[in-house]
Amino acid sequence: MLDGEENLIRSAVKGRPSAFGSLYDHYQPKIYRFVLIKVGRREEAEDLTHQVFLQAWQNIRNYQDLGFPFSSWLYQIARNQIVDHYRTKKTEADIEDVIEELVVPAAAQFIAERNLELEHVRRAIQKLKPEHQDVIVLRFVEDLSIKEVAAALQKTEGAIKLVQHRALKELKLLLQ
Amino acid sequence: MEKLIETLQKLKVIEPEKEYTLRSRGLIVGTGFERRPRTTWEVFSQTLQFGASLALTGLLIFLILGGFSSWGVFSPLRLSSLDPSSLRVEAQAIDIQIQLTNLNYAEPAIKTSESTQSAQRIAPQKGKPNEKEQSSEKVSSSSPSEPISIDDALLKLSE
Amino acid sequence: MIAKRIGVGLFLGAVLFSPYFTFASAPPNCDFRGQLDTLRAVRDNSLDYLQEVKTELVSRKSLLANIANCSIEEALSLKSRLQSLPLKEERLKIVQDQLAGEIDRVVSYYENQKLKIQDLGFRGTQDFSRSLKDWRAANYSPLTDRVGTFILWNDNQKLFQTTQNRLAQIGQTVRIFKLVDNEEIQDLFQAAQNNFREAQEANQKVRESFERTGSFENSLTLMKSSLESLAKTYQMFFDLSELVRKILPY
Repeated sequence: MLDGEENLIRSAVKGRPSAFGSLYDHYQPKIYRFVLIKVGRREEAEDLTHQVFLQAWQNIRNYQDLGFPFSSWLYQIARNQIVDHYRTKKTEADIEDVIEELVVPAAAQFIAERNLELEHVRRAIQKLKPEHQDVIVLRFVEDLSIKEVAAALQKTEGAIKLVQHRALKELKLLLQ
Repeated sequence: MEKLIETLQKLKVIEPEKEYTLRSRGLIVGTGFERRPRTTWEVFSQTLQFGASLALTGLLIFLILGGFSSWGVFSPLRLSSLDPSSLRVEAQAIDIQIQLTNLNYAEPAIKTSESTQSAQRIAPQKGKPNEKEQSSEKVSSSSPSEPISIDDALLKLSE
Repeated sequence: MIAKRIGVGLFLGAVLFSPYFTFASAPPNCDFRGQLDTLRAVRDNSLDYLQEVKTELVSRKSLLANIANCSIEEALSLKSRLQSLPLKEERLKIVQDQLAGEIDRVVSYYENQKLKIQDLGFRGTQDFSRSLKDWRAANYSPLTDRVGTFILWNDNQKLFQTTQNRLAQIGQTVRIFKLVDNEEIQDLFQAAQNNFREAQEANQKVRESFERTGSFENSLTLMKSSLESLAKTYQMFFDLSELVRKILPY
């Protein structure tokens, strides 16, 4: 959470661009990371991340502090954007999956240092169910608490714990 | 399991490119949205404001026609200084210069050798002297549409 | 007599069609892909080794001559861009002339090197290429960095003027509509002024380093900092715009 986040959110809700700008600066790398791990392509991740924040800024007036972190709201928008994105890309999805398998340099492009281990892990995460991907990334890459993840995914904390257990088990099997 | 979690944590290295971030931020935060009214009160107050602006315009016309010496004082033209669309144009010009500065800041800069093609690109393409193999691979496997720079051609001829 | 005419004709043909002579009105083809492909094809398709070497040598020299012409063209374009800057201050014009002079020396170097190409053997073309590449990295590259920085800095000055005008206009607006008593507006306007001042200070440091020492060290960092402060100034302008629109009808 950002220092003075409550005040920033309040200002942003009132329409102050600089306040939203500060929120953007803090959360954009996290949202981008979340999106990129899930979609795997830099250009798509950039477009989707941009859409997330554009939508957030356009709808910030509707944001209400219900005791959940602001990041949860952003992650919800991000998840919806990814779902919509794949819906529109449905016909191209099969072809692009094949291309991604064949063209190794393109798939590894997002990792600046060509770290094969990380690319291996990223690809394994992509093979999980979407909900499992979300929990893995939010819990262990973005270090969100169970409560925060539950808010982002609109589930109970108990459900998140269960999903986390299953997701880790599955990921471990995929990586072996 | 701990090793797996440690590995997952390493994915934190992923971050967006600075140029993209600057561009995206500028486009989003630079937009001044006209917010549609949500409540009846907001509709009412917007109507009041519209009525007030009509009255103000009327007063200004009166002042202008009436030949008051302070006619320019309340001119609505003064508010063009805060017009968001013109502010946006100026802010984008700054944004472009920042991106150009970043391009020149990065080493080595990759620019086309035909400086007339882009007035903003200044330095020629530079090969990396210590990465001979990478450069020659790049030359032989680069796509047909990519031009080969002077330095890349010299590298190829030196082999 | 006929022999003499033939000789003159051949000489003119050599002058006009030789790749070693620049034909001033036709710009060189600086896409080297085609010539490199030709070189590769000679190696791949030749059956006679001696013929291959001879043909390849001709192709290599032709390519080197083209490279030299393109390098000259590149340097002259850079000089043209530099000299098109509308400078008013004498000290900046001195810097401009110094940089233009350095570009002239680069062009002279390329012209001299070009004369050596026709006498090169196979190994000679390799050494020549390596040597030219290294020379460019050591001499031309840093020069283009300096020229590029100078041109960029110059382009930035228009932005400063625009921002200054904008700040003055907004100040007038705030005063005329008696918004200056509003604390939020006061804070925002003050922040805008502070950011602009920071931008100007960084900009001035760059100007001084050009004028006094002819040094370009740290210029890009300072320029980036000044532009970022300008961007922050505009952020304050946007915030002011939003705020004033809420207070005043327009």
